Amino acid sequence: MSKREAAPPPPPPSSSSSSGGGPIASIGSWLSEPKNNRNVLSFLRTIIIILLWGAAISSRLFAVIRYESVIHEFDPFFNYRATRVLAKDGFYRFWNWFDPTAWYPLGRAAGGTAYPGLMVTSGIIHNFLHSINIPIDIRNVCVLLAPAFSGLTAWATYMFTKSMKDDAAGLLAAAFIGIAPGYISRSVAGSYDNEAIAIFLLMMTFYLWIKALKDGSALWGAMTALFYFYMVAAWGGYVFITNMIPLHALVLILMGRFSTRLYVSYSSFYALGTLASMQVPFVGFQPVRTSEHMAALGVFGLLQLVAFVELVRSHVPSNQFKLLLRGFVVLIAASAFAALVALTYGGYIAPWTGRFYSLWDTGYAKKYIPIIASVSEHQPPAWPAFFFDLEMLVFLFPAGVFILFRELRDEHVFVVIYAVMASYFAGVMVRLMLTLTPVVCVSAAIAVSTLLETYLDPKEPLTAEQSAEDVVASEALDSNGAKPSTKLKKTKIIVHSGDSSDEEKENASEPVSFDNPKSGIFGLDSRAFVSIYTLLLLLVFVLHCTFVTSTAYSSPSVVLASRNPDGSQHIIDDFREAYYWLRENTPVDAKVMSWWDYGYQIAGMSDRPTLVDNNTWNNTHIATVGKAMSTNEEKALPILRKHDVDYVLVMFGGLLGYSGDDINKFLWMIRIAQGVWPDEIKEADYFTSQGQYKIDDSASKAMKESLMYKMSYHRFNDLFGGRQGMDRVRGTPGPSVSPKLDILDEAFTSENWIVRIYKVKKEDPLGRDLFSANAFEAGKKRKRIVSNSPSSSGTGKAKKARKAN
Amino acid sequence: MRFPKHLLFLSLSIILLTTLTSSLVESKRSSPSQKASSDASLASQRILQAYLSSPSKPYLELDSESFRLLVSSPERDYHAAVLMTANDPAIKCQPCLNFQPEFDNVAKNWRKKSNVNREKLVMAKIEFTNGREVFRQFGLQHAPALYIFPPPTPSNPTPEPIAYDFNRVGFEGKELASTLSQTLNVPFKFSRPLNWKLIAVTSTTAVLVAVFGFVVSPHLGSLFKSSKPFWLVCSLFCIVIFTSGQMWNRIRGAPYIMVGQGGKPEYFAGGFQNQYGAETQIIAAMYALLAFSFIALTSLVPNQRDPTRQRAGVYVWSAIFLCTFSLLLVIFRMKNPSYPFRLFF
Repeated sequence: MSKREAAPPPPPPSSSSSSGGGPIASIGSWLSEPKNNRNVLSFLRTIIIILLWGAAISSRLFAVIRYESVIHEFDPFFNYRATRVLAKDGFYRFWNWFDPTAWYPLGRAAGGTAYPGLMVTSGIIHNFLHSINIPIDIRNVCVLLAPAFSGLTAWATYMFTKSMKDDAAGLLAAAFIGIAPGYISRSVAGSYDNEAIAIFLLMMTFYLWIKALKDGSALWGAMTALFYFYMVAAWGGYVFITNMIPLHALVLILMGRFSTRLYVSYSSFYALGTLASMQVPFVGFQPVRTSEHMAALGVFGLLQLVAFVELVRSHVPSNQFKLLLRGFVVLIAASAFAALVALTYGGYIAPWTGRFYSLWDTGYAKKYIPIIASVSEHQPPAWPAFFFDLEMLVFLFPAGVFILFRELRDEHVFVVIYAVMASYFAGVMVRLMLTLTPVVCVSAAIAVSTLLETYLDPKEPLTAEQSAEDVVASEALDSNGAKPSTKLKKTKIIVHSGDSSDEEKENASEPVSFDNPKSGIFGLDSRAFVSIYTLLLLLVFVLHCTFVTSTAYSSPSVVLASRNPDGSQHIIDDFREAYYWLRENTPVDAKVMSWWDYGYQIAGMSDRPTLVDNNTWNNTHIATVGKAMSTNEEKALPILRKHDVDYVLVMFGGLLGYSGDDINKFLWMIRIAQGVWPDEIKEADYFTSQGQYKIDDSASKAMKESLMYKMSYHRFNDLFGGRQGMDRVRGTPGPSVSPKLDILDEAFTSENWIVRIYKVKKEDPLGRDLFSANAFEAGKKRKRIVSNSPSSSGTGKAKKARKAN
Repeated sequence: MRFPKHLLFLSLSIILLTTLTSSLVESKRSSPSQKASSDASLASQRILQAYLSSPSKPYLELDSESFRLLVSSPERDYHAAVLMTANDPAIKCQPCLNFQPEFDNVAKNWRKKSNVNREKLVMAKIEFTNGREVFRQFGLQHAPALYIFPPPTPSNPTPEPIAYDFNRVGFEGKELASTLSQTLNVPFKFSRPLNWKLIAVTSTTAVLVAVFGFVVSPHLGSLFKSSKPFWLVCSLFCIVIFTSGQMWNRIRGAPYIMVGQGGKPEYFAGGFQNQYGAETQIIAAMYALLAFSFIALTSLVPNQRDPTRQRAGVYVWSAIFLCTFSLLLVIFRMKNPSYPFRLFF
């Protein structure tokens, strides 16, 4: 508004030097001569960061020590498989990799539909280690990539926090992010997923952006763009950066803090970053054609306009002309927005994709895209999840934001925006806890380090009378001894003149620094008390993090563990048993149908073609599988035949009490199938007339006839000596008569019955349909052996048939 | 929305009266040749006529007896959409009360249709208090429920009623209308009646905001710059609210509070992935208190220039901080019994 702002405040001359040496003030003030201690301090910092790196890695190794070096969960199996392709066949083969075994019969151009950053990273590491003659297996690179990068994340967070406050806060933040469960949950050893490296890239990009903004440097802006490109290549969550940085720029403009620094850093970042991100084939032209990226473009345009206006204003004196210019900015911005809307309606710019749209309209996904709503990590978290993942950081977080607000430099604004946005997103989707955790660590570290430096500062403040009495004495004290304090004051004054608001000047008198003799803590007892319990709380935090990591986040989920009565560990390895069976006992081109959750695992461990997998790009195909699973055998058979299905794989936890089984996921299969065939599949049919989801004898007709139900409970009662079996997941008895299958033969059931594999029967050699053939067989059987129940005799027959094969 | 009982009876009797009169009128009007057929389909036609001509309400109010007549009459040649609900305030069925205006709107919309189409559907409602037998017959544990009864055909004399799936489709009139139009194969577009109150309020607000904006716009920059406390409070409020699980409540529609055993209010939901509205607020308040005491320890207390007061401040705020944290851990252990850590209690 005023002239003072028109001329952009010159970058504080001391700021570049202060980022290197200035922060010593915080620690260095305890020591008498900072100059001599500089080397010691930087050495200590290095040691601390290395130790933190070690802590971050070691707390992520629970799974490797308890089980073995194994890839976890679902998505990592695809990444692992792709990395193997990359390591074996080289980059170009990977780039053009078409995977004909996935999404049978469609296939998938895997190289162009995946974010390649993760695979390329581990491929480079693998090749590098091999070139220096360390013959490490690619699997171990993949398993240990996430812990190794968590150390880098700690370092990036340290740098980021350092630019917010000082070294001490930076080190605390690094310690927090190193062990915070919210981040560990996605970066334990073996969790070889995009997030493993993406959080490091996120923090690094943010740090570089802050650095570029502070210095107004095109070089650092280009570095930001470079890391942004890496992030785009690594994780779909890059959209968070694409919107955070423009938002920050926009808020700064609105606050009247437009400066050439902002202009230079944002323009260099946006221009280079956008061009770079378009080189990733999976992203392609999205940065100019989708709504998620339009905010960045809009702010870029706005920034050009504002810069232009500022330029003209500095050359033209007339007041009227200024008004005209402002009107011109508003007009252009409005018409650009209108053009954007028109282009969106015209179909040139894609509207928000469902996944992002559902973040704002939270009911949207459940109604229109059940496949997104069905994923458990897309659910909103209740408050215990926040506390579980962040413990005391969750309430130190607002305290830290408050402390940032006191000064509110440009970079502090960034943290505030990041804090608000990320807490909203984490509240909507539990998966985004991951993006919240870094900012929580940063601001909690700022809060804790402010507290500690207040209470550990050995200087006694002056009481009210003292200071009133001799102002002269205190001035003398300033000029005499405390050189660092005057230095700090100087930098502070420069910063404030840069901000140039009246409020800030008022704040300047408010004691911020512990160097100010007016504020501080009297006496040793209150210092000792607060410091000791703060350290204890930090200790409790470490214990909490270790506890959470060890109990909740270190299970590979392909290997389960339980305890024997004597307390020893019992490993349940059904998944790998079954996948290995598939690998060894079926032809290489046998098509396996299962629910999409297991697609990557089957492809990775059994190396067999699958119909659907975790890359849920084709809803109809998934719905087809859902339909086959949820209809009766007569309707399912044509679907199986049309897709050349040889084996059907289901998960059944009823015997063991494994709750993540297919019967519990069944409702989603029904819902997704219903979305495509609303006339044939109806969710309500699968509930009893009382609206309950039951699996015992009172289950609804559609439920009992569904292929999934029959496959799950087939021969279940045989385990209980023919009596009614007990389903330990649902906590109810199973069906009193085990269902009989006409179109499938049981091929394999794992030790604890978690995985059951069925073979689709061949056409009857006599040309009968399978149902009448079965009925005929059963009839003959019943005549011969009267005592046996029909179901068990049927399976006996099936076994014989298999042997004959 | 609440409906006093006597009024309900009144309306019922009015409906009965209109039914009678209309059927009289109808029988007068009908020519001798049609009389035989109209006799045969008496019950169903009578109901249709009553529906078409009832002036007061856009749908029929049924009881068990009239419901049986409507649904089981073999000559019925129109669909029947029956809402089974419990609007009685004593039953406290909030979804029922919420859905009622939507249903009214759909019924009103349907009335506006041309005569030909209008005769294809009868919309009706049964109150739980009037139709306990019907609820029992359908084995309903929940209200509201909505069934669409297709007309019997010669090939299928007792067609299965189609249950309207509230869980999936939701409680919006638009969805009901589209379901109806699919089932009946009649184009039916739902349009909400203009909400004059809302329009008035919005337009006034818009004008006010515009005026306000016009007046304020020169100072807009300073709003962002110097009203730091405002933005501070806003962002801290958002952070605390979101981290205490407010969005979960919004998305899942959590109840504010539950009545536990012995009629005592239950503030905390059992289970790690569950919570009540009140619970969120308590947790948010605790977070706010914890954060504030921490801020007090870092910023307020060091500014206190009197040593004794300052010492008192340190200990009091520390006590508040530690006690609240312990309490938070107690609550967390309630939610997650296997959690091993505690502070004081």
